[in-house]
Amino acid sequence: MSKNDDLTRTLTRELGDRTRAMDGSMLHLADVKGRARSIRRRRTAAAVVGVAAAVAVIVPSVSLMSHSNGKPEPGPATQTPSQTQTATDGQQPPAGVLDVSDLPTGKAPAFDYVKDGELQFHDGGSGAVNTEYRPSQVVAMDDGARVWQTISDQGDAYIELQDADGTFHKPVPAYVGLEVNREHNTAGWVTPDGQVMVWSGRATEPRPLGDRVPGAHDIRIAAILSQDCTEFCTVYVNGPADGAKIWQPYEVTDDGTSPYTDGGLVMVDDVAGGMTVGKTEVTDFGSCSDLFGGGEFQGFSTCKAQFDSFSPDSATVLGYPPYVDGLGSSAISMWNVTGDKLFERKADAKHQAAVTDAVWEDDSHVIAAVYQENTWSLVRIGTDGSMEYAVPPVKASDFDNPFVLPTGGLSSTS
Amino acid sequence: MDRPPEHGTGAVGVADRKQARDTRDADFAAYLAARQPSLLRTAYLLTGNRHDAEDLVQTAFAKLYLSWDKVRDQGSMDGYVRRILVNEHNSLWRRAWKRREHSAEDAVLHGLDSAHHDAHDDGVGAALWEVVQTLPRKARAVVVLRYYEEMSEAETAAVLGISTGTVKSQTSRALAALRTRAPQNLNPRASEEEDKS
Repeated sequence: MSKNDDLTRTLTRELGDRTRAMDGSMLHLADVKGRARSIRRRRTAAAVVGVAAAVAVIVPSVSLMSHSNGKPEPGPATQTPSQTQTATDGQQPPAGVLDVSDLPTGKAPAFDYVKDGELQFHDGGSGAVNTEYRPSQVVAMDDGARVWQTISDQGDAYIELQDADGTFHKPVPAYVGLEVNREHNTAGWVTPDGQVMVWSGRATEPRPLGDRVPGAHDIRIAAILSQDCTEFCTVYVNGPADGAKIWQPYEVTDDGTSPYTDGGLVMVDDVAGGMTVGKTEVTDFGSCSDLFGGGEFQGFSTCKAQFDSFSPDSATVLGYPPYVDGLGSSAISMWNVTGDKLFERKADAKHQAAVTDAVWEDDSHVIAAVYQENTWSLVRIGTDGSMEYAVPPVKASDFDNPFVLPTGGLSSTS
Repeated sequence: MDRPPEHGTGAVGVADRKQARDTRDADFAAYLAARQPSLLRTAYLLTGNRHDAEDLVQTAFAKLYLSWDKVRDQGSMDGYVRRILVNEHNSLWRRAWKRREHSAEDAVLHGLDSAHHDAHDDGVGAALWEVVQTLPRKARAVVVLRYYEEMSEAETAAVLGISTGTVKSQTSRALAALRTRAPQNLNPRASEEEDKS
């Protein structure tokens, strides 16, 4: 008899003995159906919104700094990134593969972002975050103000407004989710009682918009359409729906709140340039999405991707797989608005990369936070599929994402 | 707007759908009751404590519930739910969420688990169990499937979504680790030799 025979016999006996105490059956159908509902909601959340919500809770233990009146140092005007000129090392992975283990290094992101609990300014400096709770999302306003979504140690989400002079308003409870319009002069979120709030940095206080969104839980803001919300504002949110539909999009304006029915969408993902992207169908195994616009623009439909956001010039749309689960998205793609897929990169068995967030840096690049093999990096990904580090990999576990990217990307002042 | 008819085909359709849903739920509840104990035991070996095991089983059954019609039609419920269980345990997503749940309740439950097993254990098996729990998740999954579920290499590979070659190499490495890191008296041959001398 071999040593392995003895060992495996002992092992089998021991494993069997260990489980003898595991008797009793406590799970009931209602427990399972409750968990199934929450899984279904998570599966159908827009990729980055869903992932951001999860990452929000697992951001690193940022030191909890007290408020100060320090100016947020917005930095000088827009920098144009030059990707290939500054590449110094590394190489492009094969086409179609999402492998960020050894990329060329390019310039730092053209916008401010958070790393390890510190603001990193695009001009090279850094500064304290100064929020009361841990930051999970941030919006840079055009006047130098910031809006933070933060998460308490208990997992509750808050909005913390920071005026252009650095002064903080008191944190207010909110659902997970924060959006900004393309002009970066209005930010929006949803309060726990379903009230959409909008804030234009130059105004003194946020204001409620429309009527409360129906539904008692899990309302997610999707997009702010208006160029200037001080006059008339339109916001899209996704709320819970009964039955198989799961989500119900709403259009929230100064005139009120009503179900959004254009295009037969079950979920709105982004609205810009007269176009809308959203999901027309969600199943347990995938989703189908539509891009449509007004006039003679035909748009397109696909069940091979779900869409996150339009580029600043509204010519390109960022995509993820139709079904996203796990730490983040295992693939990323870009499409033009007539339905041509510009590229897609996917993780494979050897390269287990996951994109947890991506925001547009300019018309032809996104900056993506990517986890792979115990490291996190910020990767600049072009519309041609090229990749380079904007911030090289830093060692951290999968639940310690050190980065918070600015929702909505670049503002006119950053 | 006219009120919809309260009887006729529409109402019958609603009743039919409700009956179909009730039947489906009854079928699922029966399967849940029958298979839960077995799945809970496997989950316990994967997670090492009852609290996480119950949570894992609930998620596995929830995912099965979402796919019930399709999976039941294929008659592959057992394999499907076991595959979900193991892969869910290995997933990065779950690890990220579970790692932040270090509640006092967990600590109490861990303590209860240990106390219970130590009470009816001769010490040898307990030491082996401790080493098993230190194996990487995927290696532990291979060990559980091969030596508790007594699956073949091919069956284990199918559940884990890896090749049989990978199962072989992971099994070999896991056993080597167990041999090396477990106390010497865990090796029955070594024990026999000691008895003879």
